[in-house]
Amino acid sequence: MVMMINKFICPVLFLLVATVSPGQGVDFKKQIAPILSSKCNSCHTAKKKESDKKPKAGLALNTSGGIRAGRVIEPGDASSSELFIRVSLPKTDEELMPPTDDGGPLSAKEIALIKKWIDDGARFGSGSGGDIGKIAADLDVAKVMAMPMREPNADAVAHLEGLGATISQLAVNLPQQLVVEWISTYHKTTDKEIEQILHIAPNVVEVDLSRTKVTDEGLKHIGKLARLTHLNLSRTQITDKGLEHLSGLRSLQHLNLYGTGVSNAALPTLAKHRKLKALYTWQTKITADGLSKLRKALPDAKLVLETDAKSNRYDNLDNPDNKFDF
Amino acid sequence: MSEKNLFHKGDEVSRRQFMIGAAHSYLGVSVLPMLGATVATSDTFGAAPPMRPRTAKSVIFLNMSGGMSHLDTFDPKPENQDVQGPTPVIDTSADNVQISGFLPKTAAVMKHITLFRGMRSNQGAHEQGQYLLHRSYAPRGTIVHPALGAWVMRLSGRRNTTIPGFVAIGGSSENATGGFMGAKYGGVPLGNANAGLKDSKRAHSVSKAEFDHRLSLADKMNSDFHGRFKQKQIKTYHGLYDEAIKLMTSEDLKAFDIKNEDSKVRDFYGNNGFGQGCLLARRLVEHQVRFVEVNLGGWDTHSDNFVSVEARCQILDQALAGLISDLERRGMLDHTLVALGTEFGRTPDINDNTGRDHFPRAFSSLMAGGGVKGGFVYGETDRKAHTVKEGIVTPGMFNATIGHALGLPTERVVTSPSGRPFTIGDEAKPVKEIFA
Repeated sequence: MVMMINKFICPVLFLLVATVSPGQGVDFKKQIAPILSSKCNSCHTAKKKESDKKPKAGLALNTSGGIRAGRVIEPGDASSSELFIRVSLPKTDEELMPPTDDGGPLSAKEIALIKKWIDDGARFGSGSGGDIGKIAADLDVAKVMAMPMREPNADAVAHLEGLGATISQLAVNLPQQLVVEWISTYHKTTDKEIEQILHIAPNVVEVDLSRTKVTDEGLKHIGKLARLTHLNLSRTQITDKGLEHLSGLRSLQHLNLYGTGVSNAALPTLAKHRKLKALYTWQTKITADGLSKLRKALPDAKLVLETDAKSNRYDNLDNPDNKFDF
Repeated sequence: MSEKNLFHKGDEVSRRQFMIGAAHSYLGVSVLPMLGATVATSDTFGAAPPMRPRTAKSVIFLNMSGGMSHLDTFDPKPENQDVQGPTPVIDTSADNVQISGFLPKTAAVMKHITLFRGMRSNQGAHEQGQYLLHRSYAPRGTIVHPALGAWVMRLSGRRNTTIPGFVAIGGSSENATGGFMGAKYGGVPLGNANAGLKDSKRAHSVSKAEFDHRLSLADKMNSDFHGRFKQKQIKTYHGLYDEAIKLMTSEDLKAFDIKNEDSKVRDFYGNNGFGQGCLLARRLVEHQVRFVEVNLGGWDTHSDNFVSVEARCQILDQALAGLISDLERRGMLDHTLVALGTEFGRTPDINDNTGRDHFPRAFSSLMAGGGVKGGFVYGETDRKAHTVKEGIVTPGMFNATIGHALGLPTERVVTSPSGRPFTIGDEAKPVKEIFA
C-alpha cells in the first residue's frame, strides 16, 4: 500500500519543485488572479447587481475583498488554507475544487503557485514583497479627506497585518471602509507600528488602540485619519495634550477615553467634535461638573462617567434600597 | 486504506476526543482551542450581503435554564392579583415599563434594554425547550443541530485567532455543541468561572526543551501521515496542535483568570457562579471572543415559586445590572449584545403548591446593547399573561435577531453532511424593529 501511495505522491512533489523556484515572489495580479478567473470565477463571483446569480457557497473569488471575507486563506500557511487544501485534494475526493466535471483539478504548476503565494503571505499586490511607498511627510487631515475612497492597497493592508493589526471591513459589501484593531498584540504595539496605519489613511473608519503603548505623540498619526468615526483609546497613557492632535477629526462619533489620564482641561478640545454621539470617561480625571459643562456644547451626546449613578441619581448598584428618582 | 476509512466513519466528537487524547499524551496539553480560524469557512461571503454594518461585534448569551417565570420577572400583571400573586411590581428607568420588584437594579438599567414579552415556543419539556432555544430546531433522532455559538463561528469566524471564539460557562456542555458542523465550530465549555481555562499551560513535569522535543517528534509523525493522506480533515487536526501552542503562549490567556480583577469589581457582579461567569464573559469579550454563554439554572419553580424566584432574581439582578453597567462605563455596550433567554415561561395560574408549571405559550426574554433600542418593549401578552396578543417571537426569530446584530447573513443555508439545508433561525426572520 505504501508503494502505491508513493507512486502517486512522487510525481506531484517533483512538479512542485520543478515549476516554482523558491527565490521569486508570486505576483497576485499576474499569476494568481488569472488562475482564479479562468478556473474559479464562473461559479465564485460576487453579485454586482440584484439580478446576478449568487456566488457558489457564498464565496466570491473575483476580488481581494471576497477572498479575504471568505476566510479561505491563512496567510503564510498554505497547508491550513481552505483554498489550497481544496485544490490539492486527490482527484477522487469529492471535496476537490474545481470539481472534475468543471475543469478540475488545477495543473500542478497552478497548485504550486497558489501554495507559494499563500506561504509567502498571500499578498494581493505585486510579488515584490509589497512596495507600498513612503508615507508623505506632509500628509495631513485635509489631504486625507481629499483622497478618494477606493478599495485599499492590498499590500498596505498586508503590511499592517504583519505588524499585528487586525483589519476587517465594516460590512461585507463595504470593502473600502476598514476597522483596524490591535487585539492580541496590544502589549507590543507602539507609535511606530501605529504610524503605519497612514498607508491606508483614507479607508480607516474605526480604530481600537485600547491597552496599546500609544502616546500623545502617536495620536498625531491618528489625527490624520479624516474619516474616523470610532476611536478607542481606553487604558492607554494618553493625556489632554494628545487629544489636541485629534481636533481635525470632524466625523468622530464615538470616543472611548476610559482609564486614561485625560482631565477637565481637555473639555474645550473635546467640545470641538460636534458629531460626537458617545464619550466614555470612566476612571479619568474628568469630573461630573466638567461633563455637565461639556453637555452645553454637545447637547445630544451620551456622556458616560460612571455607571449611570451620578448623572441620573438612581443607579446605585451597591445599595438597591436607594429610592429611584426618575 | 483502513486508516482513511476509520477517519471517515468516526463522528466529529469522537475524532475530537481522539485528537485531544493524542495532544494530551504527546504534548501535555488538554484543552484545545476550536478551529474557527484555520478551518476556513467557505461561505462567509454574501448571498445577499447585509447592507448595514453590524451593530454588535460580540454576544453574551445568558441562559435561564429551567423555565423563567415571566410574571415574576419581566411581564408582571399588577392589575390581576390572582395571577400576579405576592410578587411586587416596580417602575424602571424606562418610561411606562414596569417589571418585577425582585429586579430593582435591572429596573435601573432598563433604559438600555429591549424586552421581548411575546416569546412563544412549541416545546414544553426542559430538554427539548433548551434544545430549541439554542439551536432554533426541535430535536430529531437523525441529526444533531449546532448551537447558536457554532452558527456564529461558522458564519463569521473568530475575531481573535489565538483564543477560542465560543465559550460556554456553566450549564450543559450540549450548549456548546458544533452539532453536524463538527467540533471545529463548537465552543469550549467551562464548568466554573473561577477555575478558568484548565490545562492550558505546559505541565510542570514537562520542561520547555522536552516540550519542544515532543513537538518536533509529533511534527515528524504528522508530516509522514499528512504526506500519505492528503485529506482536508486530517489537515485541520494539524491545526489543533498549532492552535493549542498559540494559546499556551498567548497574552490573551490572562482573560480567563478572573482573579486578576479587583474584589470590588467581582462583588459588582455578585459573588456566585453566575455573577462571576458574567464577569468572565466581559473579560473574554474584551479579548474579542465572539460568543460567550453563561448559565443560570434553578428556574423550575413547580413549588414555592415566589420564594424560589425571588432568590434566583437576587443573583440575576446583581449580575445582569452589573454586566450592563460595567459594559457601558467601559464603552463596550455599544458593540456587545447581551441576550437573555429561557426555554419557556411559567403558568399564570398558581398551583396548589404555590408554584407555577411549564408554560411555552407566552414568556419573556431580553436584549441589551449591540445596537438594540433601550427602554423598548416588543410584544405583549393578554391581561393575565396567558397568551401573546401581538409581537410573537419564536426561539428561531430570537436567534436570527442575534445573527442580524452581528451582521451575519441570517438566510444563509448551511447543508448538513446528510445533505439537508439549515439556517441560523430555522428560516425565521430577525426582528428588525428592536434596532435603534
